[in-house]
Amino acid sequence: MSVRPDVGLERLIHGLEQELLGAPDEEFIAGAHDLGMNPQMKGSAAFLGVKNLTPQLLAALHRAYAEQRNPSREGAEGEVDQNAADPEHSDT
Amino acid sequence: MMQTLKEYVKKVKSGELIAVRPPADRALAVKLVNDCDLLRLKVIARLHGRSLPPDVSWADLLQEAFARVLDGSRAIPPQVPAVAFLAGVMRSIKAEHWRRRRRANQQQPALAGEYQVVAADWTEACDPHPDPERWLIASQQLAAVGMLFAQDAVALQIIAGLGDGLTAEEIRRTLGMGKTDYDSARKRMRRALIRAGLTMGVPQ
Repeated sequence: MSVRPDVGLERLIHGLEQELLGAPDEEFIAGAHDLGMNPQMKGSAAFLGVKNLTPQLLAALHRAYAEQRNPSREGAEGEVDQNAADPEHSDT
Repeated sequence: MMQTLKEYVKKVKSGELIAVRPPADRALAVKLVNDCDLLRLKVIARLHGRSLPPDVSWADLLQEAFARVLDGSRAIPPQVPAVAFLAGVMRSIKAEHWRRRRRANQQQPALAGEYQVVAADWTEACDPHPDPERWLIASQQLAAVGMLFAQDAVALQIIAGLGDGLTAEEIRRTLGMGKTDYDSARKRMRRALIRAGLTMGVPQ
């Protein structure tokens, strides 16, 4: 890329956004299914941050839960609960 | 802070906490969009999330765009699809955040001065005020997008072309590709983007 990173990234995002705007619906449904999510299911993880809890609130809740379970790890900011990344925990 | 998710849900049910319905969900209820539109907009919001200031999330961007359309502060023009319009609103909200950030950074002349020493050689003349934080985020995110397509040499070339501001046709001509090969590369790219946009946990 022959331009400044911020300029290049914005142009890239714009180009990819156009691709996504033109993509058929089926590609999004298939993408969700690939990840083990079922968008037709109420409360599907595919809609996390859209129809329901934001990822930030969910992460804060996971952190708070982990701290309560193991107070010695209190203050371990920024850790990601791997269970939160597993769609099966939310979609099943 | 709430101790567990269960406790949070209990508090919402008892009315101690009010469960706020996100604007995107309200837009679904009034049939401004459908479920598939929401998936598409989530993927687009996460894409824009790659170039947001660190204190703003993709979900904030998405919900704010819906809120502005629902409260009438951004009216969808006739003949413009709601999804395309909402994507445009997200873009303009993102620009607002960076403008606000830039104003705040003007109060940090020392940092800006040091950055100029490093950046002077390759700064484009058209923008005399590069934002160091934005520059850093962009470099990291360009690398992250590259990682998404690390196994796909053609996709990487297309990305480079898009970053240089080339149109699809110009990229295809530059790469000397047939339309079928080019379209199938674009489809692979969309698939990777959709997966990255819908996946949970670690941001990609």
